[in-house]
Amino acid sequence: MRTRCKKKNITTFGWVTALLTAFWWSWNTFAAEMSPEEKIEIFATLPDWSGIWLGTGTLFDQSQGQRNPNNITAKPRNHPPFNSEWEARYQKFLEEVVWEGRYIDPLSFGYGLGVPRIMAPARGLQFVVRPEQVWIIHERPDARYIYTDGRNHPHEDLLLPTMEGHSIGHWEGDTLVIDTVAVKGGIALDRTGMVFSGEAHFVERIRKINDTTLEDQITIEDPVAFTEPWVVTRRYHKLEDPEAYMANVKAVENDRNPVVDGKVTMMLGAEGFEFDPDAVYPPNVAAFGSM
Amino acid sequence: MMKILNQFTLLSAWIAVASTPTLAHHSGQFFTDETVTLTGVVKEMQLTNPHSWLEMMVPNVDGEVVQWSIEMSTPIQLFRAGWTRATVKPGDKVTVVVHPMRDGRPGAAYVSIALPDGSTLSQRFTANPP
Repeated sequence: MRTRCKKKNITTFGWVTALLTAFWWSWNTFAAEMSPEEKIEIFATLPDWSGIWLGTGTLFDQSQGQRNPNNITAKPRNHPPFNSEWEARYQKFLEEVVWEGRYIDPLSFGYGLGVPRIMAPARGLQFVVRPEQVWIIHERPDARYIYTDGRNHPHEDLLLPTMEGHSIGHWEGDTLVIDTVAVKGGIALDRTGMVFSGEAHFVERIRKINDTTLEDQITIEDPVAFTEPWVVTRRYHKLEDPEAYMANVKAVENDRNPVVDGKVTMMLGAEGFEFDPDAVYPPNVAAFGSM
Repeated sequence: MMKILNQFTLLSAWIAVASTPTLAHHSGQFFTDETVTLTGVVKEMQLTNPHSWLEMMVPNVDGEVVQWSIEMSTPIQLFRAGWTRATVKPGDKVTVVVHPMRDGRPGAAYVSIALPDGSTLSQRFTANPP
């Protein structure tokens, strides 16, 4: 009798587990099974953000630095609400590295922008709106993938920290609300080497405020580095030329900034620099074209 | 050629406290916020990433012709500001407004250019902030 009860319990447990697993599986794969008809129906409700957009403000960093290497006389920029420990570390880095001309932005070596830097472009940006995803493509180049199919962020055991993090989104009318986690800590956000921690959490609200202007309100919470949430708003202006095209900036075709003794230098024509228009890039990789 | 170049005069080289931001790039640390105008002859136009470069021969106040390297935006940014592959060619006389280098070497960051036909182009496409 006891054995029979145990078997029954085990069987019941197995069925419940199977049902729960099936439910979880179906819920998580719903978007993947969306029919073409459903996609078309949803697509018709989404806003049109087509075109190429250029940032109308500055980058997080440039032109607004407190003592920006690009513009020393500029007014203080929006400064993140670093706690005392992070602020002290940042100021020390500025004094010992940046203002000494020894900071080298990873962007200059072809690394991507990551989040949130990708949203502060000095170059072209595209928003590809689909029923199940929104892709934000940057000319630098870099890309974000925002899953709008109803899924959640992956379980922490499956969450891989990356420069762009993991983004899920949903539509509130014509506003895309994005929630981003797992942005790798320590990624340079600007030309001063500013970073957030790996615990930073980003919530964005992107909407069209008129036919030619998109706005992204970014709220950044960083329980490790900040004393309070930091809200930054960026706007993007649509290029009027209907035939404007994206041109990725990924090749260093004309590198005049060799690093010498830890500092970035500049080579000029008057000093013997000669541009080779037929060079193959990257120059240290043998290719058929260089034979 | 040098004689021809020597005939050109440096129209003006005034320095002003400008609020214009410098180019947004990694080498901005080399340039001042001062604005200088240079007139000379195009030696070579390099439409390249991550920066385009305009090499031009500019007479200085002593009559010597000095090669200046003018750092510009990416080619696509220049195109969006009205530039084309045919905008300048070697031998063209042009006047450029630039931010000169801090260390006094003949290099600068591009702001705008006056072309032989009298037209001007700016640094890049400028969106009208809403």
